Amino acid sequence: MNTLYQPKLSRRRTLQWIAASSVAMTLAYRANGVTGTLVAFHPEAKGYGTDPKLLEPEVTWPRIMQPYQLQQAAILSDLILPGSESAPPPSSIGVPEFVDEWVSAPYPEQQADRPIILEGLKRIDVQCIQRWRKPFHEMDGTFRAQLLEDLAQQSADAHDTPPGVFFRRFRSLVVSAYYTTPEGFKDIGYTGNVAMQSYPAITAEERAILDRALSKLGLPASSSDRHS
Amino acid sequence: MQDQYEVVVVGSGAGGGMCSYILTRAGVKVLMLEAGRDYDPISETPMFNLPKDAPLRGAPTPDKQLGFYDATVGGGWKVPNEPYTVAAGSEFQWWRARMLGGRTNHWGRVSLRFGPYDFEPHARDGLGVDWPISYNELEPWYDKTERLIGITGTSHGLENTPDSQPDVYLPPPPPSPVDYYVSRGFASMGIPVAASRLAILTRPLNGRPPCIYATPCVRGCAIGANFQSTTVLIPAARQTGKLTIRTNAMAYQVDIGKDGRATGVSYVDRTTGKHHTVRASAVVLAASACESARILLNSKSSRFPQGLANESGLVGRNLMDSVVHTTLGQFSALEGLPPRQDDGLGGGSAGHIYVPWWGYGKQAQKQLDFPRGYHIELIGGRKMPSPTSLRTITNNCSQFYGQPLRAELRRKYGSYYRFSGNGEMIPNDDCYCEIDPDVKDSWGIPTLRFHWKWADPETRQAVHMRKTFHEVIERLGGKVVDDGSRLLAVGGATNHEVGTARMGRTSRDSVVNSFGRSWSIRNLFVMDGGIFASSPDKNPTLTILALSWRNSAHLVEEARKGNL
Repeated sequence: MNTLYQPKLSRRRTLQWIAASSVAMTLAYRANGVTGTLVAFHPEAKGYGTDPKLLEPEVTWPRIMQPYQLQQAAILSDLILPGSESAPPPSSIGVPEFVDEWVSAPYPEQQADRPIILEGLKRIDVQCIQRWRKPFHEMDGTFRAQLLEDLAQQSADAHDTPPGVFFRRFRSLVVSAYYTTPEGFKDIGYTGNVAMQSYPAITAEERAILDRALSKLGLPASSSDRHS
Repeated sequence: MQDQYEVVVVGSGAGGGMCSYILTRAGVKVLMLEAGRDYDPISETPMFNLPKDAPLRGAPTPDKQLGFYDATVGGGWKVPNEPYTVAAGSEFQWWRARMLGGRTNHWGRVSLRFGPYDFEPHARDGLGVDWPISYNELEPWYDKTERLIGITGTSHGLENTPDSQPDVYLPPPPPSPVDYYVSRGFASMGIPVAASRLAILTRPLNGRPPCIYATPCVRGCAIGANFQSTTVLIPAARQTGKLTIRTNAMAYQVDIGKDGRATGVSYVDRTTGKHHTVRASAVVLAASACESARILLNSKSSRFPQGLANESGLVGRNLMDSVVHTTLGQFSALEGLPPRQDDGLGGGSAGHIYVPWWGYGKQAQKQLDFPRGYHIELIGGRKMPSPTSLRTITNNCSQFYGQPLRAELRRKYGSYYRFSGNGEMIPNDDCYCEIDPDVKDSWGIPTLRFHWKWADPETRQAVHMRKTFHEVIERLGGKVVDDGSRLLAVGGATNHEVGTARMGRTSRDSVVNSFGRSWSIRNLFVMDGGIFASSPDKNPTLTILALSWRNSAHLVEEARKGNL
């Protein structure tokens, strides 16, 4: 992906986002992208309160990620869960926007994740610029893949290093965002949330799979599939 | 100007909802005071709504601590403007809803009768106290309650796990494939597994439609297929024309006349901050065990310097919750199952099967090192993915990224199964609530301070839970992926607070008599979990409902006889 990532936002949200970005820019981020603190802060961000309208959900806080950060997030998301023949890549179903929504949220868990994610993204850019003199999103596919492999390796070798913590947290956000969409439901095999007249009893196929497993463990199958 | 009613009922949940239902149908003019806002499950429940439409995909936040779509209004563990404190060295959490119907709007719907042993714990093992009533006395009220609210389940004839009348149970859904698998593990240990008993319909009942096996019950139910005070009790009470409901009315004091009788209730309107007084011939507190204790303790006067109904000093004492330990297992055998529509009855909030306590015999023979029982609630299957469940799956993947990660996620989704023990706690002197001398809420009303310490019987019981879960997981070829960060949940975390205004046989050792009636103020009743003398492993809501029906019927009788 060499063109700038286009967030899939409604016009209203885009306006909120632009407004927030300009504040965040002046508050925190320094223009060259490799120095200064990246932990943006939006003083007016507030939560949705203890009685939000559940049927008209609304994200009440401005987004803080910059366009190039979203693009980085898009590229990394698509490396973590590349599209398959039957499933779209994360960047096409709003995963980078979810990462933005998450790190921008005014709640303690998300605020704790904010520096992990934003500094992790920055670290990747710094590394690319130092070694190859261009930012991550301008690197070619081979380099990007190698970089992700390095991150995964660091995560496996040492859980507590900043790159390892970043990789696991970012990956978890990507998976959370991806599999809470209708496309993700389809891919993972969630077919519920549809009204049924009755709950279907265990099928012969299901029964055979489970009885085979039970038999391997030396556990007897049941003579009945009803309640004991 | 003062309002005059026959009875003022504080609270609109299980206790207050049932009381108002019984009183108004008997022709009594009732004012119900609810601290929270009006709430209509039919128009407000986010049935079928998707995580992708919710902020943070519905993940829990301090504003919505059980997730965005959970029904609870008002904050749960932390209600804005209404603090409580916890004494140094104690840990306690207090879940509150600020909505009509209270916590019945989001509860788990697990509905288990207490058994005969549960009413005489002290007689059996010398611990705690006995109830002033027996199972036989409450049995007909359980029957009535279950017929009214609808219970899905079966008879199983197990020790101290009473069955309903044969015509009451609605047929349970079949076990899911993962339930079948896990039940074979328990069977190999000689532990019987039974159909869950849930206040969720599987057949139409009293004009309510059955469950549609989709969307989680904790969101509430717009079609009224599960029991909520707001879909079953309050609408019927309203139809009588005898019920007045005042919402945002936070009661803080029972008012007393010169003759020492209750004259009514004072409350603050949470929207205006104005204080009001209502008058009634009788007062019923059903604001939840701890909130009712707070009202009694705050109703201090020169005549009642310890607060009302507190000659015994027991108001706020004997606070109990359930003993809970939860273990999550992952089973490779479940990875090969084909996708199926698997939300099921309870939609992820409760499962189709459970394990009633099976150890009465061993306890009688002193083969166990803890005196009281627990049951196991079981949930597994292909529930709607959430950020919380996905995080668990992801953190337990061996693949890092790419198609191998995608394949592992697809394989492991649905292969997790949760075992949650719910055990009986014995009352102890270290667990109680009192008025904090220094802290007031935003309206100047003194707040509660909690004291909590689990005792040895609870700890040993939780150890047994964990050992049992590990054994069944191992027998089934699974692995333990999450054993909780602690052996025992924080006090209050299970939302089963009871005991703070306990019933008994004499005014010395109890706050109320067996009808929830104050010993000293004869027109003051308590009708929530506060009146429990013990906290059996069986979840409290069904018993709160049955007691409220029984005690409200008694109130009506006494009123007719002129005995109030």
